[in-house]
Amino acid sequence: MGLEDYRRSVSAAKHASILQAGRDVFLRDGFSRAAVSDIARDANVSTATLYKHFRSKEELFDAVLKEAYDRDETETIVDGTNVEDLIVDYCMNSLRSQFERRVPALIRVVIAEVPKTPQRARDLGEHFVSAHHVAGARALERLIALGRLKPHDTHYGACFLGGVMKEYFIWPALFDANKTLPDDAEAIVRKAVRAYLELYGA
Amino acid sequence: MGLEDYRRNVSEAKHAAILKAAREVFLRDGFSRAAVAEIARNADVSTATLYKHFASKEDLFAAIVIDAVSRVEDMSDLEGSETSFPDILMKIGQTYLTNQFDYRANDLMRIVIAESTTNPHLAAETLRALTERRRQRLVTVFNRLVESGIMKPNNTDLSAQLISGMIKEIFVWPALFDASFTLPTDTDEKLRNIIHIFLARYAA
Repeated sequence: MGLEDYRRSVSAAKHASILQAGRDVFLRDGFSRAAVSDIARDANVSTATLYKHFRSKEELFDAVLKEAYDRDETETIVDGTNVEDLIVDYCMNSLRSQFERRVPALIRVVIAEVPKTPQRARDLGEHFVSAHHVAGARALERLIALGRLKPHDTHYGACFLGGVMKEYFIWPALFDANKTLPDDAEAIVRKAVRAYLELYGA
Repeated sequence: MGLEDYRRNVSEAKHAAILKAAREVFLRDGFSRAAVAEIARNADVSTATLYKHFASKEDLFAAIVIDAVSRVEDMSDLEGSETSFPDILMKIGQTYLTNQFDYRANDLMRIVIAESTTNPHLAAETLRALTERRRQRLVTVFNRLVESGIMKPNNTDLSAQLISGMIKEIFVWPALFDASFTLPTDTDEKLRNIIHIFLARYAA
């Protein structure tokens, strides 16, 4: 490995460890109370190095959020086995990935900052609420196109499934920092999907 | 009026004044920064009197949340036999939104969410007061509707979560992220669309 490559990989490793330390400290202390010096120490870098990677605490927080909601688009619906399983898998992948990335906990931090930084909160709301909703509606459109679902207004279809999932799993997590996805999550999602399919199953 | 009655009236009036003052101060300052001394002063009572009514700042906050919910969430008038299923659902939806927007439950929830790491007890209490109570009331209403043959037999916990979930999806989630969000002009139409889907699945 040449010197350039070495430097680049050290820098990338530092970048990643700052992001991770930033996420942990923001989750623990909230945005306002989080101390950049704590984050640098936990990431094992100097404060100067941290500021080379992220110009401000705001910029670091935005990067932490971006990392959490930039989902790899593996959550697409494929044709295949039975439609109930397809939708259940889609929903469960989305929920698991959100809890893995600690999205509900980060949402809490953002909502706490609504009075101070309204624009960032609106942006995250856009990503969290609208982007998921649009992706869900698109997946349902695809199932309609494949003849697996009856044609229907997929905006409300996404409301049906997204609403149930948020109500059962995401909403309680806003009030409890340690909430995880419960063991019976898949059973609940399956019941909701069955109710949905009674209306729109082809 | 006897002395006992007089004392009770004074005590109730103070209780109400404390709740009102607390609500204003909490909505303005959030939970941590709110000063109990200021609440007492605005309510025109001593701090000692305030603590006779509410053992702690947490208890006071929880009381405000319950007060905000119970004023509008009495669903006892929903089950008159002359009321149709769509009307009942419309009433549930409108009550919910009145509560969240007019009585500022959205703002109260944002305050609690902000405190959930530093004050997990408060968050748990609020979740119970605000969300669990509503969920249980809905389940009770739906169970009666099933008994009276208006609603198809179903898993009423799921149907209760579904109607709340759809309403939140459209009106409440956006408001949590945006303090300036107000109810859209076509709110009733959106509610009707939600109810239409719900009826298609659950009307007997």
